[in-house]
Parts: sequence; C-alpha cells; structure tokens
Amino acid sequence: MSSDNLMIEVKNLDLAFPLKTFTENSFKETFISLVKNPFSVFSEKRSFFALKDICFKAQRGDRIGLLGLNGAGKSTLCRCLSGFYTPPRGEVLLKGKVRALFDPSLSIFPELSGRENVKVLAQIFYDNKTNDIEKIIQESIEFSELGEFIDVPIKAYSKGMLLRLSLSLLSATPADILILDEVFDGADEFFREKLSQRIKKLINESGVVIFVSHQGDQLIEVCNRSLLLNRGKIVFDGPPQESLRIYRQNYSVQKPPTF
Amino acid sequence: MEILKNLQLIKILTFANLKSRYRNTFYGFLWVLINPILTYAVQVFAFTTIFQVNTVNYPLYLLAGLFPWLFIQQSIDMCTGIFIHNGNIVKNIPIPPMILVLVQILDNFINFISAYLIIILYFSIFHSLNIFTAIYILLPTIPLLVAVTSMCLVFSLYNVKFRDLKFMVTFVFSLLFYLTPIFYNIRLVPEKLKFIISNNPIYYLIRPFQEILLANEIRQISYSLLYSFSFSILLLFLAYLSWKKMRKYLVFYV
Repeated sequence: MSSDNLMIEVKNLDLAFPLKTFTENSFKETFISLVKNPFSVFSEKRSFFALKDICFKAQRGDRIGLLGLNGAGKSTLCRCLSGFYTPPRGEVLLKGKVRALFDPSLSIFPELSGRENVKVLAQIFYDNKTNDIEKIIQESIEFSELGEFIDVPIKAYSKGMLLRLSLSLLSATPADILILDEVFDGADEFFREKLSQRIKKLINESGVVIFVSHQGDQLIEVCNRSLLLNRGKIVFDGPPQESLRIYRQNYSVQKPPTF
Repeated sequence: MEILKNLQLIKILTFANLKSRYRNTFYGFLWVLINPILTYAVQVFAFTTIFQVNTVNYPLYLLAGLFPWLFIQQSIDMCTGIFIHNGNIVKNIPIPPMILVLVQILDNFINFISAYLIIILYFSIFHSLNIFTAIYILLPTIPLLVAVTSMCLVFSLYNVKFRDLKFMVTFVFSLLFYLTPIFYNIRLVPEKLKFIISNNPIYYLIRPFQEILLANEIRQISYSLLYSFSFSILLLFLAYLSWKKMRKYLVFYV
C-alpha cells in the first residue's frame, strides 16, 4: 500500500493521568495533605497510565473496532486522536480532520430548540467554509424523525431523542477520520437499523472509522480490523472475529486494576 | 492565535447564548436589563433620599462606577466555575475551552453596555448630559473588557485545580465593593487611608468612567485611562502565562 493512503500513525503514545488530579482538587485538600506530610511536595508524583506505548497505523478504508474491558483505555485513545489530550510521550500523526462523538446525549444549550442546537453543532463539526452546511442541517433534521419536537427546547428531550439528533448530524457526510465511541447504546432498534445503513454507506466514502462498541456482532458487521486493548496496551491487532474470540476467552476473569 | 481562527465560532456561540438567555424575544432582552437598572435605582434612592450623601451630581457619579462594577462582578461570578460546570463540553466537544469564557463575557458585556447606554441617554435627554459622552465612554470599556477577560481566565483556570477558589473570589469581591469608590467619592476617604483605596486595582478600571461622565479635566481623564490600560495589559500577560501553564492539565481536572 502506498504511503498516500496512510491516515493515522500513532508512535509510542503514552498518556498518564497525574493521580493528584483525582484526589487534590481544592486548597483545603492541598492544605491537609501538606500538613499530613510536608515533604509530599518533593515526593515523586504518581500517575496512572491510561495508555502505554501505543503504536499503530491506519490506512484509508480501515474500519477499526476497539475492544476491551471498561477502563482499558478505549475512550482515552479516541480522545488522544481527537486532540483533547496533550500526551507526555509519543506522537499522533493524522491526515485530515477528525470528527468525533463521545457523548451523544450532550446538550450545549438546553434552553434552545433542537433545530438551533443542530445549527451550532454543525458549525463545530463541519468546516464552516462549505456552503452546503444548510443542506446538512436540513437533511439531519429530516433523518432524525423528531417531527415537531425539533422546535422544542432540548431540555425536554429524552436521551434517545438527543442521540437521534446528534448522530443524524454527525453521520450526514463522510469524514476523513470518524470516531464513534459507544454511541449506539440507547437508540431504539429501528433507528439503530436505519443509522447502521447510513453509517455503512458513509464508511465506504470515509477515510478511517474508529468504532467502540461492546456489542460483538455489531463490531464484526462494521469493522474489518480490531484492536484489543488491555490496561492501556494493545494486545491484539487483527480481524475482529479473532479479536473477539481472544477477548471472550481471556478477559472474563481478571484481577482488579492497580496503579 | 487560536482566538482569531475561531472568531466565527465565538460569534455563533455568543449569539446562541444570548438567544438562550433572552428566550428569543425583545421582552426577554428587556427582562435582563431590568436587573442592573433596578439595582442602580434602589441605590440612588438609598443614598440621596435616605442617607443624603453630600456629593455633587450623585446619581451620575453612582451610574459611572456601578455599572462597570456590576459587569466585573457578574462576569467573575459566572466564569470562575465555568470549566467545572461545563466539564462535559470540555471533555466531549472539540472546541478550544477558552471560548467558553469569552462567550460568557461577551454575553455579559452586551447586557452591560446596553443598560449603561440607556441610562446615559436618559441623562442626556433629561439632565443636559453631553450626548457625545455615550461615545467617549466606549474608550475605557476597552481596558475593562481586556481586564475582565484576563481575570476570568485566570480564575476559571485555577478553579479547576482548587475548586474552593470560587468561594474565595466571590467573598473577596463582595468586600472589594466597599473598598472601591463607587457609591462614595474618593474625596470622602481620610487622607491617611486614601493611598490604599486609590491603589485598589479595580478602581483603576472604574475611575476613567467616572472622570468621563463627570466631565473632568482632560488631563485627569487621560491619566486615569493610562492607568486602566496599563493594568489591563499586565492582567492580559498574567492570563497568558496561566493559560500556557494550565491548558494541558485542564482536561484532566474537569
């Protein structure tokens, strides 16, 4: 394969959460820990490694399923690819724009209607230079089948309705790199079916799709490749069937994680 | 810089924020204006009718300082906890987090400047205030806006690391109101204490408004503007340093 088709290259990526960020969040807590142990300022800062030495490449047309237990680092890896974290070590090279959805039931302006929220989100997720942004908005609203609810403030929406709205918008056009992090859970089966059709069509035109799901059959259906993550490391990279087999065989019983 | 690239986004988010606050109607906008105007009216009543303060042009003097102060206090109240409240947005929506602060301040600023200009207009119609004051007054709003944005950025960034900072900031600012010559004139302060009061940094920002509205000498006006501009540039520099230091950690803490 030529290097033109290389869309994602991740080299030796580490990501550590400083433990202090979980435990010391106020002057009060900082003061207490200083009184308890005045030398704690000098002691080594402990971190929790959410990702360790991640290396992988993705070519145009790859549909990668991320598999792993809760807390294995799937979402953290997705967030690294979308630029939310600045990793202390390693490199993330991307060709093209990332479109990522992490929390489909998120609403920025709860007081505004679905239509107004979609307009704002469209500006965030799509390049505002494209003229067809109006068309994208129109098409997404129709696809979501929310009917008259589209003009109701979204604080009145159910989780499933919010999900319909944001997923419709996000899957309106192909993206260079599309990241879907457990976004299907919560949609009713009919909408899920409709959305699957749309995403499958989209996948053929998109560059790379990264897909996180705990539903094995969906993973096998959508993906042509799967990364199995365990405690921040890639333990398997290959066909989804094989990945799922290893996952189910080896990870049903595991000791709880430590730092 | 980041901000320039995102001007379009800032515009859209501010517009949406305003819309959400005013519920899409002109009456919603009026509703938001009532708050500062009522605060002002009650204070005028208390200090002219009940206390009978001995200051020339007291209503105008109070107007000059009170509105910028309300803008400062309101913005700091609303912005200090903004990253914590919107942790979900910081972690899930790909926009530079700084935009959240800018949008909130612009929203407050539009409220402030509308209410301010309405009262200034009232004074120029009914109390022979020079109508051009409404234009001159825009000059000190530049350092005010820069300073408030910088303060809000610093507080909101450090509030993710020290979540009790919000309570301290609110408390300190509620005290500062009494230590800033807003409802009293600096001349009433005893000579010995004047040094402390006149070096209150918030007063640097508010003083040019008072000088301009009361049509003081041009020398005094430019002097106070110089202070105001210098202070805001210093704050901007501080905000830049904190941003550089904290931006990497922000998403870990929220």
